[in-house]
Amino acid sequence: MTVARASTTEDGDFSAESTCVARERLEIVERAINELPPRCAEAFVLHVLQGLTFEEVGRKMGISWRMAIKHVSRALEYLQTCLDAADVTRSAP
Amino acid sequence: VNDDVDDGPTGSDRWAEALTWHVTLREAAEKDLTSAVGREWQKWHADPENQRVFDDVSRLLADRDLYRRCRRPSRAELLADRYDLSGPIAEWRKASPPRVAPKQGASSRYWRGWLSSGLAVATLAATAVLVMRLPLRFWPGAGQRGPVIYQTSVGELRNVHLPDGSSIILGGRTELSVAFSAQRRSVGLLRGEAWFQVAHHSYWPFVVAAGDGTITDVGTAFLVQRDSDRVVVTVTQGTVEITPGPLARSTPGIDEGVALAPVLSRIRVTQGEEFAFSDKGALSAVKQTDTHAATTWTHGRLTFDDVPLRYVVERVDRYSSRHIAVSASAGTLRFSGIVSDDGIDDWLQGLEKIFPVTVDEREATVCVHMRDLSPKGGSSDATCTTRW
Repeated sequence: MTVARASTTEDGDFSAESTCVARERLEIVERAINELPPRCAEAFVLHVLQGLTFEEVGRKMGISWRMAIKHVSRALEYLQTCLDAADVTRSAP
Repeated sequence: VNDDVDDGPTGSDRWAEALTWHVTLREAAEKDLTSAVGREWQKWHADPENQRVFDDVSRLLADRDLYRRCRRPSRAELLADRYDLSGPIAEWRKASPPRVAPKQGASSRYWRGWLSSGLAVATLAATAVLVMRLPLRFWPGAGQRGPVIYQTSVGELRNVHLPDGSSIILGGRTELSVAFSAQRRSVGLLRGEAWFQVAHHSYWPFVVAAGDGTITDVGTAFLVQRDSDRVVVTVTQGTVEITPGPLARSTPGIDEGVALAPVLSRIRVTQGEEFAFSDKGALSAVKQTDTHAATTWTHGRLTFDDVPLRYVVERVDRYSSRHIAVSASAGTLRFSGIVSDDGIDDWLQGLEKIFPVTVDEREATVCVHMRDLSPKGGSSDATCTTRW
């Protein structure tokens, strides 16, 4: 299918700036995930990426579902802290 | 394993609470929420700080493209983990900086590859362009983070699973934005067509904005089709409430010959019914429709029943590798039939047999216009609409 066609309908004006914003956001999240405590990263990947329920995450990691939630919530909180520190999400118009 | 960690009322608890609410609301949507849970939810999200955290959690969960290349930590890494969850990770990191500086490459939790990285950046770049263009009025209560954008290219179908348990099938060349807040789940259909299967929750409305109107779920699956100048809603299950927007008024209908719906602020459309509203404020009647025919595009077949050719062409164009356009007068011809996404060229040729039209290719655009019958030539109907 012709992907190129769709892209020609976009204005070129924004693309340079937005690529920077997008790359910045991706880089911040990438760095933040690398900095997560491994067990938080594990719970995060299992739940958010692989779609396991918290019961399943807990079973896999040998913890309760409540603790699985705690691990993922700490990871999310940290990602947001890093994004806020870089101020890329708030400054988007 | 200590399951009874009690932090007291710290900011981090809100994050666990917000995530727990995501689970509760999702389960409630599947089962049927008791009013006690609903009251508790309303109490919890009345707190603006809770609300802010809930919005952040929703956005991070929906922004899955960001973590696509993320991988699980190794067994050795997991065993070496000393973090005890007693405080936010940022504080823990300040108190105990990692002994070994994180290495690039092997220890990275991202797959590194220039090709995939380039693709991801390109996807995100396209996303960012759209975020900047979104009119803010679409997003009351959407927080300050901006929506997550999902889009498809020509002919692509995409199934999106949202963090609340709802799912959406996007048709070709479709753009859709999702912004969940504690007040409501807001989705904007910027162009194209989509089939929404909503996890219903009476305390957390699901609202689709298209054109000037909004469609609010009342326990439902429904299709929304955003054409250049109108919005068509078809309900395949349950009921929706449609607010066609500030311009809605009693003017000639979108479809000639169709009686006008009374001008109400809210129009209820139930299973098996279809309703359309135009950007100029015209409303169609709520009419019975074949919902099976309305969903065949999810299998690559577009079904039309007495539809003006301009809307047919606009829709087929979302699945065509060559751009298709139609002239103003040819656009008023009415078409009934099925167009397969792998048989668009055959369909175009067939148009010349059933209608007094000529289909010719100019540069990269296929133009459908009225056949020139005058002996002198010089057709007055050669101008095709090239942009929707």
